[in-house]
Amino acid sequence: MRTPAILALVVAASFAGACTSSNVYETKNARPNAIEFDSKISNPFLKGRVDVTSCYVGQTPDGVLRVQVNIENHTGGNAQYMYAFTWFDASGLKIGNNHDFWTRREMNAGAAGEISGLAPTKSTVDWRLEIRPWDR
Amino acid sequence: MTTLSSNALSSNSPSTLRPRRVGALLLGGVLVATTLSACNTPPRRIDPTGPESVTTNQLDYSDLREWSDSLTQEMLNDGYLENYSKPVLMQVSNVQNKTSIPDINTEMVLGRIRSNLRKDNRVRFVATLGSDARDGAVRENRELTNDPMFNQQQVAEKTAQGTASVPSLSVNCQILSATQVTPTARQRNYEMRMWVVDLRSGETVWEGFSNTVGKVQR
Repeated sequence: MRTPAILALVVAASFAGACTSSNVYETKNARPNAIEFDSKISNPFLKGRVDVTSCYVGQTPDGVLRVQVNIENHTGGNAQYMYAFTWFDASGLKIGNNHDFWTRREMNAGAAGEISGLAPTKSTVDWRLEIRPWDR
Repeated sequence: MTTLSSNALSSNSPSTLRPRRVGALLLGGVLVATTLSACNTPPRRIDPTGPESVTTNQLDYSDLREWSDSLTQEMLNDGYLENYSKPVLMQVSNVQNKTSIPDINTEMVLGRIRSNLRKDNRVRFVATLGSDARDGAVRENRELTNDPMFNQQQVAEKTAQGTASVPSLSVNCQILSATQVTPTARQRNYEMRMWVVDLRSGETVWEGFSNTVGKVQR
């Protein structure tokens, strides 16, 4: 009798943990237009639902960094997530301390989508994207 | 034992009612205390756009933040500002709320767009004209001439007539909504429309929409 109860508790605890952690993706090196990215996955449950497949960087006509991260929903159900960009200058300092916010998105089952970000200033050379679950 | 016990449980016996009442009172007290403590839960700070933030069927803070971000992206990706020498002088002309929500905080959206555009010295907004963030002090200071209270040399230097800047572009925005109703659900869609007019030519040089925010209530 005790074993199923303990198992249920462990499963419940792991689900609770999965809902509060998030995945982080960021450039692997300092080159502003690098398309390689490094990731830190602390929420494998979320990665199994929504995952980054590739990323592109470019510039606006007046030279501001743009980032586009392509994502896919690998599951058979709709996926809700929220994301936030953080921007850094050449010294590695965060730009725009006051401008962090989470944008909410929903993806259809099996859909591919894009997350787009525009740097706040021309001095931005690096970025970080954080994705976390959004439970409506 | 059985008979005594039966007597003891009889509702007519005052000696057996007392423990029951005490128990009920205790239970009631615990319930009241629990309710009161729930009401007195102290406020705590949360991430205003994070998972704990509240979603309503109207426009939430996270929706307004998303609008300012998406509109700034639209504007800067278009590149129309490249046709003007920097910084481009702008004024905010009209802000119209065309939804049924009476108190949408448009300043929260507009202020962030202005702040984003001002970065890198792309745009400067005048505070003398238009309908947003005006500063009456500019005109008020022009009236200091011959006021004996003020240093007239400084008045001449700092408030000379003919020195206020004239904007090149005018920004206008509207908050729009569309509602869809079925017998079981009501969906409200909100978006912000924004357009920029060249004040010399009168041409609309840029026009865009924010992300559409859809809310459904069943």
